[in-house]
Amino acid sequence: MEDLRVGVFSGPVLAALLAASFPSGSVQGAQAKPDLSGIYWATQYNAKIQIVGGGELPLTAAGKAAYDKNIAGLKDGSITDAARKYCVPDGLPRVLATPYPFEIIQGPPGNVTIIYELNHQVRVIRMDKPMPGEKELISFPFFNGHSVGRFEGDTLVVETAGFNEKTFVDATGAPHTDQMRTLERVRKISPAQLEIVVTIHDPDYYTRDWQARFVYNQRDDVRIDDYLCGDEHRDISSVQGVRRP
Amino acid sequence: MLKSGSMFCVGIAVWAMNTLAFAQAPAKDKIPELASSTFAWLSAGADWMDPPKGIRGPIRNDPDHPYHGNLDGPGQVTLRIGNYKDPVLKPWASAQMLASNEEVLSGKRAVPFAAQARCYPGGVPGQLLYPAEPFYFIQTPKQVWMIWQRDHMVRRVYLTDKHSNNVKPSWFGESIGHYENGDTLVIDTIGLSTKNSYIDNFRTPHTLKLHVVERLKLSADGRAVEAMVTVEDPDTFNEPLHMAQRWRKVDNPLLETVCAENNFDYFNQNLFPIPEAVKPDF
Repeated sequence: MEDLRVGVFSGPVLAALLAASFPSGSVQGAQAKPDLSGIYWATQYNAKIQIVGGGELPLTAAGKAAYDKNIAGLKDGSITDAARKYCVPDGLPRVLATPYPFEIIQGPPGNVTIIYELNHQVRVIRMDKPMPGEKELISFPFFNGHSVGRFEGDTLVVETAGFNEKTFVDATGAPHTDQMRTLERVRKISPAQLEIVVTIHDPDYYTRDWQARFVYNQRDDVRIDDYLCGDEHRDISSVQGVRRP
Repeated sequence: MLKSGSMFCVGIAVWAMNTLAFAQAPAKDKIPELASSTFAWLSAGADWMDPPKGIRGPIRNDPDHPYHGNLDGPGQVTLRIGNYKDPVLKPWASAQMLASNEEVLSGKRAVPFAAQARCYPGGVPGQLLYPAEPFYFIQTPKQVWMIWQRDHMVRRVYLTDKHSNNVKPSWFGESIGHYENGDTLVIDTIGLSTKNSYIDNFRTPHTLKLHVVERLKLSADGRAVEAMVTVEDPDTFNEPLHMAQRWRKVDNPLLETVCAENNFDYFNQNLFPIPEAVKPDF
């Protein structure tokens, strides 16, 4: 296991990190940071995560076994979907599928903060900082992991590691290990739309890295509501694919 | 230690210059620096402190059941039994507190409800009593966020001077705010829902008429924040209550603490149930 953790994303990410650390003097490097702050709300929801390029999740044998176990357990009740029943954080990448609005705040200085209405989840992205070391990631596994970020042109690039194994990849129970690493590329694709493309790297459960894409409308007319498990929450029937049980 | 007269004179001169600089600096746009990615604010405890003498203070323990907390020195910590006999309480509030006390004193519930312990929002102003884990600010020109590490509770303060025409009651209500004197954030909150919502850990209830004004002042040395809180609710209290709270600055980045993780009634104490969705939301 240990060797898998080292050097993840080492090729392109290391190159990008080096580029960020040693500005080449390019025009792009001198650009102001993009303004991604605002409130966003998806228009579509899929219980099953949709892979970029289509097809099924590229599960390894261990991944398939874990998925089958989750599906059976969720069906017979031996496994609890704690994110929905007790409103613990959804974890990545499941939280990206939220049918409730969320907000991106470019602050406090040094951080980008994402706050989701769903389960009042808070993600702290430490900007231009190295990923915490393995000792910290293993000692303090988080539902939503530990995130570091940087701006590349118009895009916020977020790397996350140090997950616990208490969350699913999606609402169908697709699995991940605590070795999962995610890379999110967050950018505006129009003045009123935000795109997040997430890459999942989890070689124990997936035969290759794979991606999912999420698009949200900017909705600064909306205020994020308080959210408590079991309360009645906002109407999300406008989000296609959402089904109230 | 100023040992020589000349150093003392230098000290006076520096003090005078600083004073002059402060006097000349336009304080109008200055705001207290409460937000940081590296530091946070840790509360002094889970009970309200007294306001200045002569002002009506918080609800305390029932005198027949003295309260001994973790910060009160050696000795067994006792449960919080609120003073339902406090004459400031309207009869319905007194009766509700008595019922809550009896539930605990009879042993029916071994540990009384505490929002923080049972994964509920603390409401306003009760959330200010979350101890043991720090809270964080984010400040932008139009808004302030207050984020508690414990269960990632979030309050939002809109920096405007008017409440919405129709405020739907919620756990943290609608908070509007402004800065004063360069060192104080003043927050005005209405629209606070009442179910499982208390203004303190003695389970003092309130109605939908609750109106809370919090004045959070950064100390001159920047190492502490002190809140003076005024609570008005003419259907619950015969006069406004005034309470204080204090936080010290701590060097802690915001971590993830999930209240509902492994938070079950392991010892059959009939703990207040944690929030649960009987049916998933979607």
